[in-house]
Order: sequence, then structure tokens, then C-alpha cells
Amino acid sequence: MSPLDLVAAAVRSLRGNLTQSILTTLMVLIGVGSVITLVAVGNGTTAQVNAQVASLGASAIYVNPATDDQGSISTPLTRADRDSLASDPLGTAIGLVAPIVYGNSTASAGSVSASPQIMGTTPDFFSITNAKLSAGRFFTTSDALTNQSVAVIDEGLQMALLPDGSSAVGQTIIVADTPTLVIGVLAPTAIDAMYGMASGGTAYEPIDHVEAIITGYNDLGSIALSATSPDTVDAAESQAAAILAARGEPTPYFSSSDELRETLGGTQESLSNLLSSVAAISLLVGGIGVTNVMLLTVRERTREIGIRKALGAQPISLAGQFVLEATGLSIIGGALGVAGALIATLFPVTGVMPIVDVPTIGLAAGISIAIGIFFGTYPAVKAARMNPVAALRVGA
Amino acid sequence: MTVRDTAITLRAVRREYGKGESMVSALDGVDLVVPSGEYLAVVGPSGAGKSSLLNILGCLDQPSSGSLEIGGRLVSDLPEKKVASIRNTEIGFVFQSFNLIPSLTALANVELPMVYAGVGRIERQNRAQAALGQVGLRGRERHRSNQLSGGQQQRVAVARAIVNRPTFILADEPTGNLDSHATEDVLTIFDELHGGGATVIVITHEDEVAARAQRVIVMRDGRIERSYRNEKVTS
Ligand SMILES: Nc1ncnc2c1ncn2[C@@H]1O[C@H](COP(=O)(O)OP(=O)(O)OP(=O)(O)O)[C@@H](O)[C@H]1O
Ligand SMILES: [Mg+2]
Repeated sequence: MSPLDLVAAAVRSLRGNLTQSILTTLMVLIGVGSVITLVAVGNGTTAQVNAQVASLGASAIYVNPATDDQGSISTPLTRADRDSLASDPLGTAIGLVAPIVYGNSTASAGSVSASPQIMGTTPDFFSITNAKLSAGRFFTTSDALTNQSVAVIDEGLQMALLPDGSSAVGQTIIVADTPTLVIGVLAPTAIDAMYGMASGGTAYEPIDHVEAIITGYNDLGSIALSATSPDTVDAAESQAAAILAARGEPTPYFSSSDELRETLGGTQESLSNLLSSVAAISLLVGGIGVTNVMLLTVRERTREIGIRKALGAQPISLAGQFVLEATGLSIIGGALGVAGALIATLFPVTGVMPIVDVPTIGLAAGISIAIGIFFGTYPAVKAARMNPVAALRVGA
Repeated sequence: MTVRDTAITLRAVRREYGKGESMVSALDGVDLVVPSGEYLAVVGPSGAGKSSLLNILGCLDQPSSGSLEIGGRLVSDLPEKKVASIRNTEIGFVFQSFNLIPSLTALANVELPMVYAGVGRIERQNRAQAALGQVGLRGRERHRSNQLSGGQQQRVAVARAIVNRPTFILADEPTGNLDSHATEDVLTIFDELHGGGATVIVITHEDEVAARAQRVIVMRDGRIERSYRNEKVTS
């Protein structure tokens, strides 16, 4: 039997058993398609979370004053502490350092008022936290030198003061009885997205103004500093602790965006694992489907095999034909599954843009094609070894 | 009688189905010599073992014990590949239930034995067409078997059996499902093949079929009970 005749026999037989052919193709298609799509959604989620984490400021560290057993501040942080953190040659892993004071006050725009948190800090704070603006600009050192009070507010405060949704930039609001020009509005961060914005919102102002108007010239609330790179966060923390210890300060309490990164990363990882399990299950279901279709029709095929054997088909020709058929169907199903997945992943799934990766395509297509070939071929090859009379009796 | 004159020899052939209590002995020690070119009819009551015998003669089944020789070759000694090629080129088997492949056209069904014999496509189609013409089915080449009547299907099966010009035509009640007209057509074809030198073995329960044969063997309970020659038939 020539190879051409073999292919022709396979094609004819597939056309003759159209329902079986279509069902088998469909099973492989669904298996391959869903695996690629689900893994792509997992990848998309990972990428999204990574982008959010990057937006946090990869290396922001907050130094908080040490507290006693009751939780009250035992040793406050001072400007002198900030200065040594910024200038001590020991702090090789420490980048920018920004002092922070916290106050609470009322803010109002026209007849609407709110109770935001007021944060006094320096322009470096925005670099350290990798803050992004949705409108306007950050304040600079020159803003701190003028008599005009300026503030950068977050969207929470903007919403509280301007419920109609208009922009606060350029508007003058009253903060702690002081007319204050809003120069910028911060874009929401991943923290806001995860935990919701502080209820009253926050206003960021130059530290000197906040001290003059609200808090008075006292101790610092905390100090924000950046590590020189995401890899040196731990080094920066221990250097900061050492510098403060040298000044006779007890070890402060550190918090960094790394912790949030870990939380987010953990959530994303469990989601990815879940999607992978679902993908594996759909591959299995596809495989079982192929097997089922093959077994349903094996009675019919066995009789056909009996006829072909009675007519003198060599066992190798018969096996070859069925391997070709199963391979053809599986490859077509696999290709359609890949095509379907590539189309499906062009669209966002619940806000996540899926990202297809090539190894998954290879793996999914490879496994399903292998399942299709194995379960398509195995019963037929088994039947091909039967006695022709025995094969003819099946389904007769 | 030389080896070449002896087409088929069966020695002490037994065929048992199943095991233990439920074992059925379909052939209970059959000895048979069929000379080359003979037209042989096998008759006997239902369950006598006729089909079991013919399946073994056609290399579709193996005896439980005993031996089968075809053209001087001991079939049990031959590799599966060789047995397949004997089925393909030397034997034309006609089944009572036709056994056409329903998804294929009449022409494709008749082409099948030539496909397995490695005949090229053009020659295959020409010969299949000629064989279909020989059984009176010109113009039905493109029909599938479920679009054909029983008589037409059996003719396709006969065309398929003769297309590789086998030396043996084995037919298991080939006219059992046919009316007298179609029966006559099929028997005429067998006569022609026999006239051309083929060895023809036909199972039947119809007297007019058995009457065409040179020799008739009567089976009962897995044995050949007796055999006789039809005086009228010559050649
Ligand atoms: N595959 C099988 N499994 C079990 N028993 C079988 C099988 N094939 C045949 N037999 C038994 O062997 C015996 C002979 O059967 P066989 O088909 O050879 O008879 P037959 O002479 O062809 O009968 P019929 O005229 O009805 O076709 C019967 O008793 C039958 O039941
Ligand atoms: Mg029978």
C-alpha cells in the first residue's frame, strides 16, 4: 500500500465517519484552547500585579518611631535623625530620605467640607513613593519658600470636596483656616486599589507649612526613605537601624512596600495555581472526551478492520491508517484550539489582558495531540491484531 | 495427483469456541482435499460447522488443532504478513452479509483489495470499473452501499472478491439474501470464474446452488458426513 493510498484511505474514512471526526476534533480543540487561554489569563494577572507593585515605588521604606509595650511612642524621631540618615556614609544602600509629619484638620471648598489627613513632607517623598499624578504637578522646594500655601491632594479628598467630579487643580480650598491652592491630584495607587482610599482623603503639603499651621515644630511622625535598588531594601533597612543606633536611638519599626508586594504576589500566585489546575482538568476532560468518542465507535471500526483484514490488509497498513487518522484529527483540533485561544486572548477577561506564552502553546498542543493519537490509535491497533473473523463478529 | 493439482488440504482440523463447560466444538476432525479448479458445494443443517470450515479455508480463522495447506504451503508456518497477502491475492471471499464498508462508494469498495495489493490508482479504477461491469453494475460506481439493494450489494461484494483474480473463490451463502433472479446472476459469474480455472467453494442450503457444483460435501455436527458428485456437471 503506497503512502498516498494510505493518506487517501485515512481521509476517506474520516469523511465517512464525519460525526466522530468532528467530535474528536472538538474535544482536542477545547482541551488545547482552554489550557492556552487560562494560562494566558494567569500570565495577564501576574503582569498586572507586577505593574501595580512597581507603581508602589519598588523600594520605599518607612521608618516609624520605636514604641513601648503600651504602643505609645517611647523615642520620637527628629529632624536630626533624618539628616544623619541622609548624610551618614554608612548608608550606602539608602537613596532619598524624606521627613513626614502627620496632622488632622478640616478642609472645605465652598460649603462642602471634609476631614482629611494632612501630611507634611518634602518633594523627595513623591520620588520615594513613586507617586503618579492624575492632574497638575507636585510641589517643589520653591513652593515651600513662598507664602502661598499649596497642596497636592489625593482623589479621595478631591471626591469629598468636589462631589460633582470636577478637577480640584487650580482651586483654592480652605485647610486649617488657611486658603490653600491645589496644585496637583495624585492618581490612585495599588494600595488604594487593594484596600480602598482613606475615608477623608489626604492632603500633602510642604512640611514647613504643616508645622507652622497645624502640628507645630515638634518631632517627626515618620521618615520615608528609598533603597538604591529593589535588591537593597534589606540592606537599607539594616543600615538605617545601625545609623540610628549609633545616635543612641532604639531600633525603629520599619515598614516597606516589600510586604505589600509579598501579599499581592501570594494572592496572584494562588490565582495562577488555581487557573493551572482548571487548565489541567480541561485537558483531562478533553482527553477523556477523545477516548470516549473513540470507544463509542470502536465497534463500528472493528467491523471495518475485520473487512479490511479479510481483504488482505497488512497489519502495518491498517495500523498506519488509524495512526494517520488520529494524528490528523488531533493536529487539526490542536491547531484550531491554538487559533481559537489566540483569538480569545485578544480580549480582556474580567479586566485582565491575557498574555499568551509560547511554551504553553507547545505543551498544551503537544499533550492533547499525544492523547488524541494514543486513544485514537490504541483501540484500532488492538483490533487490527484480532483474528478477522472475530473482528467481523463485533457489531455485526 | 501432484501437489500443484491439490489446491487445499485439511488434516484433522478441529475448531473449538470457548473454554470449559461452555466449550462448543464447531469442527470435530475434518479431513478434506480440494483439487485445483474444483467447484465444491458445502451443505448441511444450521450449526453443522460450514462457516467455521470456510473461515479456516479462507485464512480468516485458525484451527484449534490440525493443519491447513494451501498450494502446498502449511499456513500455520507462514508469517502474518504472508497470510495477509494470500488473503489479498489468492482468495476472494464472499460473505452472506456482504460486508461492504458503508462509508465507501461501490467503486472504492471494489478498489480495496487492489489498494492492499499495491496496484496504481488508474489501473485500480479501470479494473474496478470492469469488475463492476462484469457483475452488471455499470453506472452504480459512485453509489454508497446503503444506496444499493441487497442483490446489488452482493454483486459489489462479488466484484470485490474477483477483482484481484484470485485462484480461490470462497462464498458463504452468497445467495441467501437474494431473489431467484439475482441468485442466477451471481451463480453465472461463479460458473464463469470456474470456467476460467478458479477453485470455487460455496456454502449453501439451496439445492439449485448445490446442483451447479461438481462435488457436494454434507456436514453434520462438525464432521463431513458424506460427499457425492453431481453427474450432470462436467468440466
Ligand atoms: N464465535 C463463536 N463463538 C462461539 N460459538 C461459535 C462461534 N462461531 C460458531 N459457533 C458455534 O459453532 C457451531 C458451528 O457454527 P457455524 O457458524 O460454523 O455453523 P454453520 O454450519 O455455518 O451454520 P449456519 O448454516 O446457521 O450458518 C455452532 O454451534 C455455533 O454456535
Ligand atoms: Mg454459517
